[in-house]
Amino acid sequence: MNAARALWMVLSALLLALPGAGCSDAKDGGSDEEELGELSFVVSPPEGGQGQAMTVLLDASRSAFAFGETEVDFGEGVEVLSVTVEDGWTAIAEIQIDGGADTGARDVILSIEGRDTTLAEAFRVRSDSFEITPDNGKMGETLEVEIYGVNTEWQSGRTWVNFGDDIEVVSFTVLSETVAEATVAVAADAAPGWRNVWTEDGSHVVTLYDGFLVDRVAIAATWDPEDVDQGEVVEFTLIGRDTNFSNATGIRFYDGDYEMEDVVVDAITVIDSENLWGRMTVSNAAELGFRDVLVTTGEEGVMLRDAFEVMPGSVGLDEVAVSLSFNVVRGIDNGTGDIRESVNSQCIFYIPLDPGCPQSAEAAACSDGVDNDYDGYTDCYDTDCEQDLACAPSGPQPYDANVVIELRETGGDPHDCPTPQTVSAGDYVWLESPANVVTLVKNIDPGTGLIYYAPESALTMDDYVTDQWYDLHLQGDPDALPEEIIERIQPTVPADYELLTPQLWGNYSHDREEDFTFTWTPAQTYPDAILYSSIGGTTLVANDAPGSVATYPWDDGEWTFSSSELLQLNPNEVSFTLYSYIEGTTFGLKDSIYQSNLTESYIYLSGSMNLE
Amino acid sequence: MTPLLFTLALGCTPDQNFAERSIEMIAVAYGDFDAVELNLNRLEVPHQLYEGFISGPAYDEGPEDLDLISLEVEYLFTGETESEGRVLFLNDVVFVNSGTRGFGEYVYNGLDRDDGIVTDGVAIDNVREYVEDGGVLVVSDWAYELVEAAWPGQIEFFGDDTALDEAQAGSVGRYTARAGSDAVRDAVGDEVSVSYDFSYWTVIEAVASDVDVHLSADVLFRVSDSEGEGTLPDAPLLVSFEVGNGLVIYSTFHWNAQSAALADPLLTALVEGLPVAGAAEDTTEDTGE
Repeated sequence: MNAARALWMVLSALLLALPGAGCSDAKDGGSDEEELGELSFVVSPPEGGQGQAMTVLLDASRSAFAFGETEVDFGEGVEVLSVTVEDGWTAIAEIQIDGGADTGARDVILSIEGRDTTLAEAFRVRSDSFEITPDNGKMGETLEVEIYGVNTEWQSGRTWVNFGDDIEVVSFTVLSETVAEATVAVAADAAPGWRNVWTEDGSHVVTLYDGFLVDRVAIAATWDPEDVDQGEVVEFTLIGRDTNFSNATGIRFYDGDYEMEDVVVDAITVIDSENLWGRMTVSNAAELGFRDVLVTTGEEGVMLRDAFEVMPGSVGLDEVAVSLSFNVVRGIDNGTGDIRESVNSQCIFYIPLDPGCPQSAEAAACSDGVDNDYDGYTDCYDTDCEQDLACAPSGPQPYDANVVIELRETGGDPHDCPTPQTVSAGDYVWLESPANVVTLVKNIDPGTGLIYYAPESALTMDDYVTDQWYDLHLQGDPDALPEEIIERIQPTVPADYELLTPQLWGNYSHDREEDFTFTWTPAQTYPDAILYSSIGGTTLVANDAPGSVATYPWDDGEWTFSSSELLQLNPNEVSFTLYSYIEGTTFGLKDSIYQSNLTESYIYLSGSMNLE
Repeated sequence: MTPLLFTLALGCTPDQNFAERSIEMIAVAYGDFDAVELNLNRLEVPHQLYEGFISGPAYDEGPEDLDLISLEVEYLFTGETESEGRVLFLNDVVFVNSGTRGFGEYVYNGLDRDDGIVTDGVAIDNVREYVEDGGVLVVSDWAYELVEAAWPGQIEFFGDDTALDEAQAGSVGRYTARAGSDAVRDAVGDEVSVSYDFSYWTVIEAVASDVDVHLSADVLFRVSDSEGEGTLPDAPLLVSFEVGNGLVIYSTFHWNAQSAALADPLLTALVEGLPVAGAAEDTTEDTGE
């Protein structure tokens, strides 16, 4: 042997001596039973459900099983279909658990070469079990799985399913006590191979052993660019591996478990099954931080974790809009008849969302001018849009007859809009009129960072002077908006008023069979302002949908909702509202592109009564 | 510790004709999916380990401390020593585990390329020359591109053989395999149960006439994502062929996924002269065979 070979042999010898790095002792290489240690067996999985057919592995701590002379007995109600001895250490039993087999732990009896060994409580029959389909997924894949239980009692909000490390359960929906579905995202670096899946109902855990296979191939994609700025329109590219990009490919964005709608995909161009590019708009108020990207094509889903990061965009002071309000809100105390009053004013300088808050797909389909479902009807002419807010019947017209209206909710799922960025205008702003000055102090919401201006202490009616036009005076911030006075933009209603009759307190009741007449001191709303009144908080007799009777009455001090109108409402505890309202003129900060800001003001009164 | 020396008389079976030589040095390339070193440990066969993980062991009982493995698989295939020349040629048997890096288009869990060895002309030339000179090369599953690159005409793998990773299509599970050679029949019998512990194992469609098929079975494979699974009848699972004075053994399965009763006799039958300490015989006795 030459010197080099001798060196290699020494290396080998050293490696053999290192635990875990080279050779180790062969399993049970000796022949002396005392040296071998006590013989023990492991049954896996250690449990099965009633009615379940399953494969059970029997592992011996040392060579014990004998070919052709190994039998196993799981007791009454569990039929052993076959036993296969793989080698001295391993045997495999195929079993069928009867649907009526006794539940609980039971002994397993091994018979090897005629000698019995009892494995005490080595196997448990449980009443509940489940299976999933599909039972496999690729690394990097996001997929839907259906879960079918036997004797399970799954509950929405209580039951959850787990797939182990590196498989995230994105969503889990219990459809019934025995059927559920889940969306799972297999991480690109998840360990391939079989793994257990288990459900949890509080402390009640049911395991499906080797229930899910992570395939040894990855479905993956890369995303470019890695960084985007708030307010930016960005072109992106996706390069996939084993993907099937097509015209059906969609892209969604997530921050952890939450879908984010502050980045909008404007266009996608598919080049081939593994390459696409597109364009997206990042909201100027998009939340900062990383975004996961989910690319879906039919049932195929690829989740790219932390695919890109949203970075702060530059704030353009020429893009600042203004939200300003000055109102009085009054409520009648049902117990005492006292008036609870609050006078409010708030001013916010903000950068409007660009793009705007997205509509739900359903709502968009009812206002896009397109026959989306190809039934020959468009938007509100399509009965599918009957319940959409965009197709709600119009309310009362000024000084017209009363109207009984159905109140609609917005269509589709609610969308989370980003919170617009706000801008400082100094420590104070003032509402200034010849009659008085109202000071609003800068506040910063510690949770959201929202900058808003509000009174330092509660305002009173001494601060709300009717029939005024207030200037908005910005103190100015050297790092943000400069000092500026915008003249005559915030009106107040022409005059105060009060409800004279009825006295809406002390559980006041009204019979629908009788007209409802109310009187007030005129609010002098004509011609610049307007008065509105309604009875709401109940449902319509016609369809049990939320509804009300409403009117813009002549402001002459008396108006009536007729019995025939009231009888269209279901009896209930209802609210009566009356308020005067005035709009200001459009305005904007002098350097801003937004010159159509609009102020408003009202004195609002509400009380409750029983409509019988 | 005194190095063990064994005499290997390759070609003991009637259908083989190798020159007698001794097995002194055995190299094993670590891989993510197979761990033939565990079989060798059980058989008490000394071997030198080379770190070749793509991501890390996907099986149980992986090495506890990779830092102890100072030699890397690239060094095994292309390295040289000043005094003795090419490292590969210092070994009598080289095991390349499934999941050894350098033999795929991409890493299996991402988009990074993983063709470092299979596209290295020096490495492939070394391997070809090593076997011709009498070396024994034992390759499993996903390392098949090494065999394809060095001897492209010997094995017809599933799919386009000119494209990397195309043959990875086998379905996970157990298959009943038929013995196709006397050596294997004598070692394990006419039929054995072969376990495929990971999906997308390498499928062989056919072999050249001078390739011995030791095990074959009707196997399930993925036709495509849309078409699902199909059955390939009588697909070779374990094959070998001679090259010059050497031998190439290729298994579509993982050695460490098989029972000791199957893997140990197969290894000792095919790699004749493997310096085994006798564990396999114990197993046979214990199980009554």
